[in-house]
Parts: sequence; C-alpha cells; structure tokens
Amino acid sequence: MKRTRPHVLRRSSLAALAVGSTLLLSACVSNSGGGQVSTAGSSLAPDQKVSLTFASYAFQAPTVAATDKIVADWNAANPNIQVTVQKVAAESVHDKLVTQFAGNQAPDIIHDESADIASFSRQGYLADMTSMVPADLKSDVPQSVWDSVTYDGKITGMPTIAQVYTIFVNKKLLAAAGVAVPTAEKPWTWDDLAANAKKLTAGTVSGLAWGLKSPTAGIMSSGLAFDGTFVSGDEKAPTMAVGANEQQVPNRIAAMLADGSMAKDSVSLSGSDVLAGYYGGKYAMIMAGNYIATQVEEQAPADFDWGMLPLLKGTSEHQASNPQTLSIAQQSKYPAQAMQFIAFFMKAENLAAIAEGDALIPVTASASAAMGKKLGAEHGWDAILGSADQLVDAPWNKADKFPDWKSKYATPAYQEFLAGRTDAAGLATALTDGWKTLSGG
Amino acid sequence: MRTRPLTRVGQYVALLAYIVFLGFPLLWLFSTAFKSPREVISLEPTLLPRSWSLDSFRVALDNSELFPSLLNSLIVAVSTAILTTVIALPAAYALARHRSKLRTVTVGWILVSQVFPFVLIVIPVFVVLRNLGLLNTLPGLVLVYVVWALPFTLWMLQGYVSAIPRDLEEAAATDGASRAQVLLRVIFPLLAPGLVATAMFAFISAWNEFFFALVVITDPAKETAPLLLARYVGGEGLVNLGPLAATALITTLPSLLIFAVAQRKLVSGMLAGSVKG
Repeated sequence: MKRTRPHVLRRSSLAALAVGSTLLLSACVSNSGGGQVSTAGSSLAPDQKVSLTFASYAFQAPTVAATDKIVADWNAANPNIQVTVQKVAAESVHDKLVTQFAGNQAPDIIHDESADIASFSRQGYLADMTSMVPADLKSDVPQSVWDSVTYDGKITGMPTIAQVYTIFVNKKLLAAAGVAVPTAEKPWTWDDLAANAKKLTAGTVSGLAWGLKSPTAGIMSSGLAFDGTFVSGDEKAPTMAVGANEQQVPNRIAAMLADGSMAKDSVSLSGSDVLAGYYGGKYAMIMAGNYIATQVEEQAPADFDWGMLPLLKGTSEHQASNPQTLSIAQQSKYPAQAMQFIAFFMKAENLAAIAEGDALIPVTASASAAMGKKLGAEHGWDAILGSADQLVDAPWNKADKFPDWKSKYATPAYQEFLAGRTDAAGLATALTDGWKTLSGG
Repeated sequence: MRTRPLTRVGQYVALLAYIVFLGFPLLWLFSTAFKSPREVISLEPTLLPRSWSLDSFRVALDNSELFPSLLNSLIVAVSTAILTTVIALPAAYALARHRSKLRTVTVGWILVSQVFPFVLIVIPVFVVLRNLGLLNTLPGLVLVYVVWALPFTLWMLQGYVSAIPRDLEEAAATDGASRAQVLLRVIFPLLAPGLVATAMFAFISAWNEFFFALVVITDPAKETAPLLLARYVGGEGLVNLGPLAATALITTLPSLLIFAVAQRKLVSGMLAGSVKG
C-alpha cells in the first residue's frame, strides 16, 4: 500500500548481505534470528519508568499531526510509560528495519504494512500478539482482515488502516453524459464501468484513466472480485495458476483500451500522475487508491465536483487486504506495555483521525463509525468506509517470493500486456513461468 | 596550432549542450519550487512559473525540523571534510613519495575497498557503531563518512602530491630547509588546490548521503537534511512536490555557497614556471 519502489535491502540482496556481514564481522556480531528475546514480564514495579520507541512512517501532514497528538495524549496519561516517535520515510521502512533487527536495535512498536511484515514474522523478529489483543479490539476488526496479518497461525501486526481501489468521478461530466452515480446498495459491475466509460468518452475526454505504471498491486487486488486468487497451497511457498478468473481484469482493461474508453496514455503514469488530467476534464473517471482523496481535496479547483464510487463488483466486491500494521518487536523488553499503547492508538477517535489524515479506511467498525459520523456521505465516503469487510486475505502477500516475483516478472509482464506487446495467453505464461523460475522449478 | 573556426563552433555547441544537460534539472527544481501547488500538477507544465508563488517555501520553512537538520548536515559535512583531509594528507604524501612494497599493498587495498557494495557493509557498520555506543549520534555518522570517503580522497590527494616535482623539495633541502619546513612551506601551499578539491569531495559526499544516515540516526532531532527530504515522498508515487523542491533548493544553498568561496582555490597553474627544463 505504501511502497512501490524496490527496497535497497531486498531479499535477493539479503543473502549476499548476510554472507558479507558474517565474513566481515563474525568476531564481533552475535545475532540470532529474531534477536534477543524479551525477558520482562507484563507487570511493572509501581515506580518503574518505561521508555518505548515507536517508528512511524506517517506521511501526510494531518496524519503526522494525529500521530503526534496520540503519542502526546498517551504520554500525558501514562507518566511511567513514555513513548518516543521515530519518524521514518515511507519508502525506507523495510531497509531501516532490516538493519535494526540485525543490530538488535529495533523500535518497540513498528509501523509497517501486512505484506511487508511476512518475512519479518517468519524470521521471528515480530512478537506473537495473538493472546495480547484485547477481546473488544479483536471483535472490532473483520476476521478477513485478521487473516491478512496472521502468519503461520500467529498475529504479528495490529491492522490499522487500509486502502481500496475505487473509481473517482467528475460529477459534472457524468451528469452531462446522463450517467447516474451508483449507490452502495447497487454498485457498478465491471460491465457497467465499461459501458459508462464508453458513454463518457467524447472528443478530447476519455471515460476512464488508470495510472498503471506499477500495475501489479491494483490489477491483482481488483481480480479478487472475480475470485482471482493466483496462488494456492502452502502459505509460505504456494503454487501459481493464472486462469479465467485471474484474467478477468486484464482482459477488461485491454477491451477498454482497445475501444478508446480508457485513456492509453494513463497506463504509463503513476496513480497520482493522472490527477492533473482528472482535474482538467481530460478524464471523466479515474481508478485509484482511495488515499488519492487527500490530494484531490488539496489540489482540485474549488468548483471541481468529485466523488468516489462504491467498490466495483465482479462476482463480489472483494479486494486485497493489505492494511498498515502496528507490530511489537520480539526484541522489545516491554511487549505488554507496547500492546497497551497500541490498544490506545486503536481507540475509535484516534484511529479515525489517522485514517482521515491519510484518506484511508479504518479497519475497526468503531473508528469507521466515528469517521463516517464526521464525513457523512460527502464525496462518497459513506460507501467507501463501509467496504472494510470486503477486504479479504490476499494469499500472494504471504508468499516469500512475492516481492521478487512482483518486481522481476509480474510488473514487466503486465506492462508488456498493457502496451499491447503480448496477449492474455502470453501474460499468463510470463506470470506462471516467472513464479516457477523463482521456485527453482 | 590554431583551431579552425568550425571546430571552435562545434566545441562551443557541445559545451552549451553539456551545460544545458547539467543545468536543466536545477532549473526545473528552481521553477517547481516557485510554482503554486495547483500549477505544480498542471497539465501543461511550463519551464518558468506562470505566476510566481512562495507557498512551497512557506510550507518548507514552517517545518520546524528544517533548520536543525541543516545544522546537523553542516556539522557532519564540515567535520567529515576536515577529518578526511587531515588524515588523508600525510598518508597521501607517504604513498606518493615513498616507494615500497607497503605502498603497493596499500594502493591495492584502497582500490579493493571501493568494490564492496553499499548494502554489504551496512549491517556490519551498524553493529560496530552500536558496540561503540555511537548509534544515533552525529559523531557516529561522521566516523562512517570519514571511513567511506577516505580511500577515494587518499587516491585523489596522492595524485596531486605526485604532480609536484621532487626537484622543488630537493631545491628547498639544498637551501637548508628541514623536512618539516619543506612540507610546510613548499609542499602544502602547492597542494592547496588539491586539498580544497579533496575537502569539497568529502563535504559533498557527507552532505548528500542518505542511506547510512537512515540506518544510523533514529532521533528526529539528529536527522540530516537528506532524511528530512525523504519524508516529503510517500508511498504509491505520492510526493509533496512543491515543498520538496523548495526544501531541496534551500538545502542546496549552503553547499553552493561553500563552492563559491572555495572555487577560487581550485585554480590550476600554480606550478607554472616553478621548474625549468
């Protein structure tokens, strides 16, 4: 959800790094898998002071402010458990954590996302939070979202906020073309999208644009609406199959590109690059992560009438659950106190403030209700906030080889397909062959 | 031999193209910094802002972390430049003037040390700093930068030393100068351009460096400017472009200023006429 560039310390380089590290420092490094296991109990002496570090990659200014306020409120209410924020650039979370884990200097509380904590969880760097999560918090989050942060039966991250891919519309252009905005009860299907995109295409206006410079996450997530699961079998090392379900979204995009209802120039742009054309009336609709709403609020002309549509329907409205997470380092000396802070962070009003700052969906029903109360139906937020239970566990996110496959095979293959240089069969072959290559088969 | 007019024109065209190639990104950065938030994302971008705006600078300057991070960068970069030069100078002189087996081994090691990829040494460096109690400290960062910059600066500087004719030292010695006097009064003054170039290289390396700072520094109060700049970039291609450009422009100013002051020292030809024959 947050990072599209490859990490400097990707898994492929970690092997070399591990060898080199061992050679260079074998005499003075004493590392062991998950680092030093925490030894402190959950209770503190009455006058014992605890300092916790909280690494946060909050990016948008309102989210940074909300994070700082939550920490300040906590520190004021808990003089014996003080939390200090470490600010991390969103693109650097993984690299920094790799180093900190290896050096046994990880922060107590770690802000990351579910797809990124898979490898850290398996290496034992993250504490098992399964028995630590308060019951009321457990029941406040959909089970499908819990599934996406459960690795080998252990919950290693508290899901916080998540994104969905949704259609942003220029309401004036829709009204002019006689296209009605759908309701949450009767969302558009992918067929409706194609038909309406065609209706909206006229002159210099394209019906739909989708910034697919990094196409894999959006296309695969959208494919879950057609039950396109891509992988099956062993959670850690599943096998891949690209069948009719997985081909639904790519084929529909190809059809819209072919009939001109989807702007060809948009597929080589990033998710936010298409915004200029959206504001300028070049695109009547854009498909984007709902976090784009923050930018639209800030940048769109004052008279720009926009809205987000309910999730598109295939056979369902499912999309991939890849929520941001708060984890506790296995190396933390105070996991119980870290959990207390996380529970405080997850309070409805706190999580709602964080979600609003990032224009993302809080995964707890209570925070969603609090946010909905504030935002109402403005810009379609009511439908978007109600879609947390459409987020389902994306099995590929838990596969060890997924990040490598995504950057080396999937993204180039989808780009080739979108550029018309390969057909659906070629795409399927490239995806499955890439997976097999990484599996050594 | 006189250069033909056509060749001269070609040379100037090539030079102009090179300057445009180097200068365009800076011009674009400058232009973006002065565009309004709406103009930054305009469908028809222009080389210069249609209407000049200070909005991005307001956002950049409102960030309370800007000046502390600039100060941290300045402390780290100046310290790195001074330490690197002070260490490299005598080592470079010894390498250039004393031919021995040790020299061959040392020069070989300097070259080999440049081969290690960045990611290979980051965890060992992190652990060493942790064991020294220098994690999350500016001295720790300076130590890393000095070690990182030293091989190349040593290599650079020994080239400058080699370029100084031995005859000058011998002449000074014949006139009764001691070894220390030869170094202080003959060699070091002639090495000034080399020393400035070396120090500037070390300064710029430390000023721009991001990755080591990322892993070594965790306290926001000790962050250097590149870390601050990185936080204007979010995930999924999200970038606060205007404030990023404005902050980048502000962070470029100190190094430009230092370049402007130091470039006068970077003159060549100091040795012209010093030795005949």
